[in-house]
Amino acid sequence: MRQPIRFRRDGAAAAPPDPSSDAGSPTGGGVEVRASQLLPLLLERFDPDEPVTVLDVGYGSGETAAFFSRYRCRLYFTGLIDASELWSLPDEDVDVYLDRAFARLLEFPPDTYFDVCLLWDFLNYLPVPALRAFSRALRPHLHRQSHAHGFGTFKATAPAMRQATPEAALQYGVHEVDKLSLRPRPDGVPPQFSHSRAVLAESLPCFEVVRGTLLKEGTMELLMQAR
Amino acid sequence: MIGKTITIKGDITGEENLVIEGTVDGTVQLKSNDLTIGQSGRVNANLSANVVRIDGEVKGDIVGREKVVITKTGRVQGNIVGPRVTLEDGAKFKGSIDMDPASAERTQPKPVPQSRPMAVEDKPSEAAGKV
Repeated sequence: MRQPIRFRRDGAAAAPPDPSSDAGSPTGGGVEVRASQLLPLLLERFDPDEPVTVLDVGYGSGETAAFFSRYRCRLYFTGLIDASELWSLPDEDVDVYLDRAFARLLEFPPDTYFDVCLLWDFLNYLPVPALRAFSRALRPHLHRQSHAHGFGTFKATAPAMRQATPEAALQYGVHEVDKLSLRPRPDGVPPQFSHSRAVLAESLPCFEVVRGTLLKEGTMELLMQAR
Repeated sequence: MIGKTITIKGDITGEENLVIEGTVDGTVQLKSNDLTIGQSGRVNANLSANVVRIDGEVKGDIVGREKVVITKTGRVQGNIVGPRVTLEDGAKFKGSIDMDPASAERTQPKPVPQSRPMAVEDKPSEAAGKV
């Protein structure tokens, strides 16, 4: 039986990762492995015998596919992360345009409900109208125990998200229950939009942030729950 | 083997291993054998085989009864069903992967939780990662 995520009042993670491993350990092939404080809260509640449905806004990652192969799982890799129509917006009828774009990009079977949404740093590549449209598109596929993991910024003036190089953004994957894999994305760096927590809360009403960990350089690791 | 200059429009069935280096539009079904889409292969078809290995481009759904492998040169858009799926570093895949043979159960309504977690904000931590 899947348990709701619960947090202690002192804010301690259920299974904090080893801080000594946090600096990121290269594994060869341009892959970096980095500890995550919030990922265990998202992933440790799943029973291998229960079906799990996962949304990943990136392209397929070998690590993520391998990690979820231990579950009765359906993974959706949507490739939203480099959908340029989401940030190159028309001057008029923006909402109509974006709703059509997401309808085309997120074609899920009607009875698909995501238990886990792996958003990575995708929210930082969406202007506010696209955030709202993403929320509208995703809401029909969420249930009350749907959770999401992603990265945001502490405030709108925080530095842009970390990149692999000036020319390459990062591609994320689930390396282990408490570790992420990061590698350069081959498709370049999309334009970035830093959102404050308040703007994110207002523009992404399908989720509320239930836990955030401030990381160095003003970025935040976020755990969200459907509302 | 279907060579680089060969184009087939239609359904392919068989009981031996097959390598596709050419272009196929239709379906490919191998009962209990392996299917390889070579680096020059361009396939717009639903594929079914024991082991499916993709080095080229596929647009369509894939069933691998034992395993599906998308190699570093593979480009796939479609839905994969199989007990084991390997995406090599550099592979580009957009679609779904179903690793649950009883996937029909997944469409059941979800339970409403008894309680919601507290909203807790952590302070900056020394243990925080370098982002």
